[in-house]
Amino acid sequence: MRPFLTAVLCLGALAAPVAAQGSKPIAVDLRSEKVGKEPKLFLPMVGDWVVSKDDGRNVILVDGRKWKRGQPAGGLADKAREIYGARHEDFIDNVKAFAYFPIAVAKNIDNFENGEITVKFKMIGGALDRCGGILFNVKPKGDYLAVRFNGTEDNVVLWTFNDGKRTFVKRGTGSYPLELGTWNELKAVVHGTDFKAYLNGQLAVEFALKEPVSGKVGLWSKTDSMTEFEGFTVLRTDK
Amino acid sequence: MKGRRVMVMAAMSVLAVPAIGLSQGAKAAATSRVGKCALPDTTKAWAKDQRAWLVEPAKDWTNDSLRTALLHAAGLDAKSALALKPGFTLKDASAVGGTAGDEVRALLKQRLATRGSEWPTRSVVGAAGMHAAWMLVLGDSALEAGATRRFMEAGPAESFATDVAMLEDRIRVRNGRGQLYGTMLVADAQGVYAPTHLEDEPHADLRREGAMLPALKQALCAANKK
Repeated sequence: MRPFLTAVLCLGALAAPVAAQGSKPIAVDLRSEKVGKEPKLFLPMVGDWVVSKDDGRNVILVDGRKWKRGQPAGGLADKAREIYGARHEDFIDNVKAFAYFPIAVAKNIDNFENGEITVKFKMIGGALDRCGGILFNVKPKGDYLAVRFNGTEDNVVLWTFNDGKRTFVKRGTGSYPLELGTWNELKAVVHGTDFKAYLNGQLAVEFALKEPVSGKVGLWSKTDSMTEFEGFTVLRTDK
Repeated sequence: MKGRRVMVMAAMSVLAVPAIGLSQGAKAAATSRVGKCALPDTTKAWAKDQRAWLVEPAKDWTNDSLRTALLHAAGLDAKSALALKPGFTLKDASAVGGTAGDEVRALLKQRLATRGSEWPTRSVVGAAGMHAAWMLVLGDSALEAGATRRFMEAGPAESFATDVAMLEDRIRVRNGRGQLYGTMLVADAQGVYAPTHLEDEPHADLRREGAMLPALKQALCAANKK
């Protein structure tokens, strides 16, 4: 019964957004966010996310210095309920199991299936990791895909998270010794099962997904990373 | 000192680590040029965090023989307390420990080459043992890179973040990249120490805080007054 209901809900979600929102890029504008507060346009589900100033502009900062506490962001239940309604408990149950991977879900961007997700990130610190990543295919039960750059490894990798477990999908072969304190652009491009990730315009990862993407999107980080994000933009395409 | 381009190991250490620094004349010149400056405040968080990590209240490590070998090779006294470190390292540090050090380094290299092998972190050899391992890998470029990876993977509860930060800076500088924490210093013609190329300098102190290090300005004060 439950799988059937899930399928029905997913089908319902599939139908609406593409037709309704067309192919116009959706850029998350951070100007209305309050500095020093949790972002309202990105709901922090795990980790410490705060609006910060960088060169006079509002940016989102993930602050991994408290990661050892391993606690989900404050008000997780309320935020999960806001996104997934009655299904929010599945999300919470699973998200607690991987609390070392901070995620913030874009609130006003509906189901993403095909197109491009772009974000600029600036690494600031992190002894274990210095990550900036794009979260996508976020399911109500907390499963998702993430493509990220890690400054401690200098590479771009696609990961999948299922039932709270992280599984390696594809590692790009390139090595990118990016400097801390500089802005860089990560882009995820999805067309059906064809996935590509670009770092500063350069193809970094290419992979054929097992199934098409369908879910929420957002920002991703890891353990003690301190990373700023801005310019989160989603461009939907029909395919 | 050689070519007047020297690095200092300004560890406030009682670990029998030899103090390597400037000649008395150069020290005096450096101190004079630096003038008044604030030394690291040992009542602050960085010092508390270091003390908390370095304390060895009981024998809570699992490999005593490896610990003993590490301490012996590094010339550390197991009974001496580990001291606070403002965090500087020698660019040209040579490997310590003589023959005993070479034997332990060979053992560590073997472990690095063996997937899943035990690595000398805190739960394995105690805080002093981990620090001894750090001392022994310094100056061996192959070991430094592998050890840094293993220490980082083990996480901050197992690996002394200050030591790991210093290792990472060494590797980055050797590879021609900017350092992240400013732990590698060179002396200018007047003998005043400053970090080599420091990446994203505005956030250096934030990163140092994460590595349980005092503010860079204070650390440089300590280095130049040493």
